[in-house]
Amino acid sequence: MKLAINNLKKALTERVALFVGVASFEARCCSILEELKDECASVLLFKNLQAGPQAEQNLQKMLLMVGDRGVSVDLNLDEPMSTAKSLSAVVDAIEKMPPGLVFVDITTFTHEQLLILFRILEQAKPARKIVFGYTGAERYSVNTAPADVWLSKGVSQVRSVLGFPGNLLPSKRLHLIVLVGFEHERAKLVIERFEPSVLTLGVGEKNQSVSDDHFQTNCRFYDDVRRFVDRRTSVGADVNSFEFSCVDPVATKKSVIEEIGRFPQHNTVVCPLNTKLSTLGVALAVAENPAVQICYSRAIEYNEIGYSTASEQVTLFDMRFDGERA
Amino acid sequence: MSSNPFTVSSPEMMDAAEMRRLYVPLAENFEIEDLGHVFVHGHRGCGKSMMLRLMAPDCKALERNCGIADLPYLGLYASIKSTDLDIAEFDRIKNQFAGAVLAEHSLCLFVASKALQSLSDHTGSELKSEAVRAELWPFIQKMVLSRLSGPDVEFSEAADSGDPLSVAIEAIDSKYSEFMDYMRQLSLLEEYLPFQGKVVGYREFLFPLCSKLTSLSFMPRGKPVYVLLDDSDNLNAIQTQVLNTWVSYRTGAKVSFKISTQMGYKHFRTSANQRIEAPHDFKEVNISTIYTGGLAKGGFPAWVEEIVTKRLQENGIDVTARDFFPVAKEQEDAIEKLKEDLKSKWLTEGKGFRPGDDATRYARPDYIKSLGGTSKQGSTYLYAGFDQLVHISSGIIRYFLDDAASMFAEESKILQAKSKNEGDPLKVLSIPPRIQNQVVRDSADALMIDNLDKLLSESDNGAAELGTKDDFKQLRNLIQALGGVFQKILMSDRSERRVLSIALSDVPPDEVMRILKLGVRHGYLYEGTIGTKDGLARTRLFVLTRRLAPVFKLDPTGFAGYLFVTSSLLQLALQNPAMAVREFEKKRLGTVIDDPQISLDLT
Repeated sequence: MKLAINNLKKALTERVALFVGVASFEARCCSILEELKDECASVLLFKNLQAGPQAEQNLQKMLLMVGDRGVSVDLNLDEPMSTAKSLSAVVDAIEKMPPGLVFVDITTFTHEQLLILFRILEQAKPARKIVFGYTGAERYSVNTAPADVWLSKGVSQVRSVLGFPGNLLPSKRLHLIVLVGFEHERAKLVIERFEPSVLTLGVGEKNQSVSDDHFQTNCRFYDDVRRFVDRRTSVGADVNSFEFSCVDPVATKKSVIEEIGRFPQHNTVVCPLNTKLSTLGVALAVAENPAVQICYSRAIEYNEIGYSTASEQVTLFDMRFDGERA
Repeated sequence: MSSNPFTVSSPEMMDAAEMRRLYVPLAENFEIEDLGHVFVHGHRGCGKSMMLRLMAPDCKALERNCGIADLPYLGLYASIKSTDLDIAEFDRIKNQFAGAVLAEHSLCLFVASKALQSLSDHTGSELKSEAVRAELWPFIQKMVLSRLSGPDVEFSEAADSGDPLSVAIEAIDSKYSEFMDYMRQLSLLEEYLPFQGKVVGYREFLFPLCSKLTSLSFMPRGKPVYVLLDDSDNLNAIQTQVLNTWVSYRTGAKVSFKISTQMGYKHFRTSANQRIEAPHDFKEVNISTIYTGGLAKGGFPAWVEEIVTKRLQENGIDVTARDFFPVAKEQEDAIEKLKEDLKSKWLTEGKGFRPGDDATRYARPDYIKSLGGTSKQGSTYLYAGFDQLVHISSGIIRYFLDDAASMFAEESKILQAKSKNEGDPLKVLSIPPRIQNQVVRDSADALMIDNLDKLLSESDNGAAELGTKDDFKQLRNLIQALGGVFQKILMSDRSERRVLSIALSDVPPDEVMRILKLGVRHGYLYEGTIGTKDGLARTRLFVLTRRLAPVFKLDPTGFAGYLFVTSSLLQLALQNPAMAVREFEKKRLGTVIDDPQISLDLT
């Protein structure tokens, strides 16, 4: 469900017993909390240890918004195990919280953190409604000319996501599915590292993109990755493409499951590099296909100064992990 | 034919016939096919995977025109991809004793499955007969099924009628899957969870399985088995420890590991924390030193020429490699004229022993110099012609092929546009020198500017072993200084002007050595050894990649000399490249020594 951020309060049918978010260098990490600050009984804020001073400023700003209802926990971008431990604070907090829903602002989680949190919730099965909220970006890379857009640079490591190791059988060949986003360099590196037998590149659907501008940019980066693949060809002729939703996790899940099913005799690794909503869709798809691995490419540097500006729109997706209907 | 003859495919995806058509064996040049464990180090794209894949039975049988049973060894190819084995969950068990046991268990199963899959994929139809199946069944029962499940487990009659290798692979994969399920359970658990399944190890499972394969009548009987492990950098530290332990067993007479790495192998410690060392435990080959080793004398250029010829023919282009990548004629004529002049002046002004020495040494540098010294005009020198392109690729076949693919694509585009105007489709029969020149210049700029920038931005001060930001800044300074010094030498009137390498005249401090090694790891420098000036010992030699020749306006076609440098020059170079070049000029820091033995022979 997509709505104007100022309609957010009205859209929530229950009280927010726990708000979870990440204070990052992006201003949009504050957008949803700004709107919900008076509605939340408790607030759990994460901050990456490796983040710069802007993230710290945003954390202080967010803590100030909620006063003594808020606590902060550090996350370590380089230590998935430690990340899992920190994120399990969400489950601890749910156990102690008053009646109401859990609102997770996924906007500024990394893909890996979001996936690990999903897995923690999946395992803990909290008897609460979980609402995932995502503030799209109005513009990305606001400090560069359109031709020089960059969000992140470099990849220090390509690793499997903790909780999604898959079950890759040694005798099978590899099918790599990449949901291409703006961070095209990361996509190229993942492809180069894996050298898959079959490669499937996903591009966001026009009608399921955050905006028309984003769709155009996404297409440009998709073409760039496609050209890179055509030139390298170490992935052979088997390059497929598909479209997925950037805004609806259930639709993304359906598309990804379809792509996984196309090569049942292959091991499959999925690399989500588009919106966090589509990453949730990947988590849903892999939850139903545990033999599939999800991988993450850890970026070294983010365009902290001009990563994005927040849009006035919020997308909500709610689900329950305890088997009850949302 | 519109397809690009120079695109690069993964060897895993190619059959033996395709491999034979497109690739030229190189392994014998490095004695990789000899008995014993070997580590094959080389930068990405230097041909390691191809080299290993060509040692699999199908390629080897095609090469020798014989059956599998007549091969000199049984090669079993197993590539290790990123996150195949190194999953995040391993962190949960890495510090436990069970971690080492489970790492060995999973690596054994992984290699066994890959090895049998390779046997199935790379033996053509030879293993499909009823007689072979009949002999394989008890072998698989004894060596795989009973060891995985216990001696009492019999395979079913239904399985008996199937393919024994497939049944074995399925059984191994099933055990591996059990282990992966256990790892998934561990993902988010804080407490210790014991593994309930049966574990296997090298000595009682993988080694007997591999070594006994060549006791079968349809295999190369009594011959060794080579396990060809590709991209072993993708193992995590604990798995690396396990592999090193296997190497330390010295079972090479029966089962040898041929282990390729992309210069990023984690360590050489065993599970008992002992180091495995060459030459006692294994042989070490660095393909990236191709320019400083025995292959420098013509082997590499001939190898590339053969590969290019095969690829052109495969695409219906019936011209030689030299005709396809022609030289810039006007430029080469001018250089020939300079050569003739030098030869004619040799009696009165000559410096070399023979007239040809001066011609070889000075004609090209003099030509580059005549284009305008260090001014921008120097860039009008054209890096074109097959021989120059081979030199510029610096011993990494992928660099040659990548640039060639770009050149082909560019020329195709131009011809396609022409075809639209003129009607008939035009075929690419050669690459004009200006396109060759532009592509290698673009690649050189990308390497010097974009790639170093990327390394710098990617570096993480927290991960010192991978190189800190400061390390990469120093590496950039060092490369700039070396390029600058080599350019000054080329433009000078020294007796030897074609210098692209430095030899160390003293033992450098650790920080200098660290940066030099960083340069080697990232392909900016190549390492070798050379005799000291007094001839009594050997010292390290570092060669600048020729891919950067266009950036520094250097002559890539050979390096007949090397520069003995002191640590003080290198230390200065790390901090201030411009001053290092000036100091070199002023004080003549360093001595240029001729060494005709390491010049490339392209004739």
